[in-house]
Amino acid sequence: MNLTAAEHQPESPPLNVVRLGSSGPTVVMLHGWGRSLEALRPLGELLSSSCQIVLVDLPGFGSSPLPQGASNDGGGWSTEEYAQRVKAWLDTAGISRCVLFGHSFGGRISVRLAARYPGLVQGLVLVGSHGLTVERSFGQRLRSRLIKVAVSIAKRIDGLFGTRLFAHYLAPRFGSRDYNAAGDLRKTLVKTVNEDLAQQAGTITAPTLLLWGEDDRETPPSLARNYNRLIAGSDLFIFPHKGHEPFADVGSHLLCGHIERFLAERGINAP
Amino acid sequence: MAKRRKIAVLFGGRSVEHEISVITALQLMLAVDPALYDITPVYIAPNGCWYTGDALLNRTFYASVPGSLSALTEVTLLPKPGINGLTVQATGLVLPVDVFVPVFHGQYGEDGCIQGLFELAQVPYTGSSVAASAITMNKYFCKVYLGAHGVPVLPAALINRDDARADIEATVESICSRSEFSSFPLFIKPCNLGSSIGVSRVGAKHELAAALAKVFRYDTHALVEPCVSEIMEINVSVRDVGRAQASVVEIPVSQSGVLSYEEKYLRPGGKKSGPSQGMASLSRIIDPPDLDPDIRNEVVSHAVRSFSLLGCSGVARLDFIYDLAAGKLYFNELNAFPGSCAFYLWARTAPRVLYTELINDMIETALRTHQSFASLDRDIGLRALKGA
Ligand SMILES: Nc1ncnc2c1ncn2[C@@H]1O[C@H](COP(=O)(O)OP(=O)(O)OP(=O)(O)O)[C@@H](O)[C@H]1O
Repeated sequence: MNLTAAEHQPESPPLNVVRLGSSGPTVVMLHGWGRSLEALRPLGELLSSSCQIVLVDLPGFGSSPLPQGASNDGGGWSTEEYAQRVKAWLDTAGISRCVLFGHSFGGRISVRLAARYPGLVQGLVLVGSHGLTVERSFGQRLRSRLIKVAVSIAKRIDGLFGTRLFAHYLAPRFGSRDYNAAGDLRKTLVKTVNEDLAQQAGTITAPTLLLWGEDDRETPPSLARNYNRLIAGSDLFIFPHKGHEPFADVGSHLLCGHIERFLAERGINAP
Repeated sequence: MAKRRKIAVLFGGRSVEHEISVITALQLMLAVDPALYDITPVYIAPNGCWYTGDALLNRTFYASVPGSLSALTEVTLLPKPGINGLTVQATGLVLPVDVFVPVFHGQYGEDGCIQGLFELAQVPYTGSSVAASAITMNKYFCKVYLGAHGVPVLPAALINRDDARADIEATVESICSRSEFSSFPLFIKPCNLGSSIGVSRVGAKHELAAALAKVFRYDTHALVEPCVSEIMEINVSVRDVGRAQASVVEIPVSQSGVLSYEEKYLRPGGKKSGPSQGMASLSRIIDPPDLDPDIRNEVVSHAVRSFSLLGCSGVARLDFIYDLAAGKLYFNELNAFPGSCAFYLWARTAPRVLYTELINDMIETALRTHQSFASLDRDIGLRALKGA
């Protein structure tokens, strides 16, 4: 499967985008699941003195409306559709070269774009990015096995007797916080959450910077090390005492410095 | 990666601003670049004992002080040159430190006391030296010194608690007999404290004794000034990067209560704008676009000059009072180590300075200062005693 943006154009309600800064390379910033561009705005503001920042509310988050296809009724989107939507927007905006910054869920989309469009992506910055399978402990694997069995039994009983065991009992107890809060994006969440982008990551040629919090429980540093192995020539920095959002509070200053140094060292300038 | 320097970040302390110091330090440590520096957090408990341990990096730790202190290691800084680190109380082991970073507000930490200990131990430390810290902590000394150098300051009388307690009527009479204080309202404040503790506006002579008594609960000296009724406060940060450099200015708006900023402080037609300032935006307007540039320039030039005259280093914040009725600007006070290290002002200054860079520069300046001081010749031998 090798679709271009034109061939695979999901229907596209407008994207809410905030642009900051007037010179330097274009940096497109994609936020995490359940967040919005506001989560990245403080970092974007700092970066905007050396970069042209594009903060994006991903479809269905912040002020960007939920596309029909991404809703539960539409069957949900995979990150492939998200990537195509972002690419289509970049085309419309006339952005043909840019740095991608992806946090968490936004990281998945960035990995897809960087793998698919090497000519578009001048540089890639992944922060606490999802997209690779997390190695889990025996206990964690056992727990998820048991939950899966319970879910399939509950769904069968629900189907036979019209009960709502799954919705009323299992999901609230064992579903992740994101799952339970996903609402009309639940199918999209399910589609994207287990995607493994190792193959895509392995083809990325753009200069890549991986910034991670040592105490990140959501996307543990082992993920960062795997990305580091998969993406040739990538730089990895793990921040002690920081979690899944190392750019929170004045962490934005710290990350801004690291990103600017990376862009300078790799000679990434305005296209 | 080059060898990382070991920095000890010291905070807490025996001042009324203990908690603010903890908050400033926790935030500062989040901005320190771990690629360059390795942090040893050092908490000075309200009882004056020094502790270290990684638990100090968690905000939740402080909710259960003093109970939680037992999980930490008690350390001290011995006033003996050559140790170059903290000494563990129990074992005598030394934890090496390349640079000490005091993050204190108020007494003992911002007033030259702890700086004196760093000098005795002959270790590099960030921020102002003993003398500059001591003078700036004393509002009276600071005003008199800067006033003598032509920086505009409000007239001030220094009132000693012992004198006032011995004869309060004579004290009140002597204040009112001075022409600068002959008309009310007056403003009374502690000489050595911050955070607006113990301040009062005095509308008439008979209220003066009570206002002084209020100050003397917290401080041994009170300051009497004419009250600027139509006041606009303007603050600016100045830092030492080999030369004194000023940040953008800010106008704090919370203390004054009524937010007459738009009506009073800005020239007509002005509007507030600019990117979000996070939590900072609630209580201050950073780089107010419509502030009269003449006032702004006057603030900046007095600030840079005052910082240099006082021999300050590191990052300071200077607070000015603008008398809107008289159109006059006065230096009010200098905070040798301001809340949040004033990083929010530097982030908006052109060229922008990241909090991380602010800290890097403070540390590198401290090392330079230490080296240049170490090169002074101080060993002239025992001539008087030996020559006998
Ligand atoms: N002479 C004066 N006339 C009117 N108001 C004054 C005067 N001096 C100080 N103030 C007001 O009182 C506040 C506190 O005074 P000042 O800054 O001198 O003491 P502080 O306790 O060190 O302040 P901070 O809260 O900045 O630490 C000032 O911010 C200002 O609003």
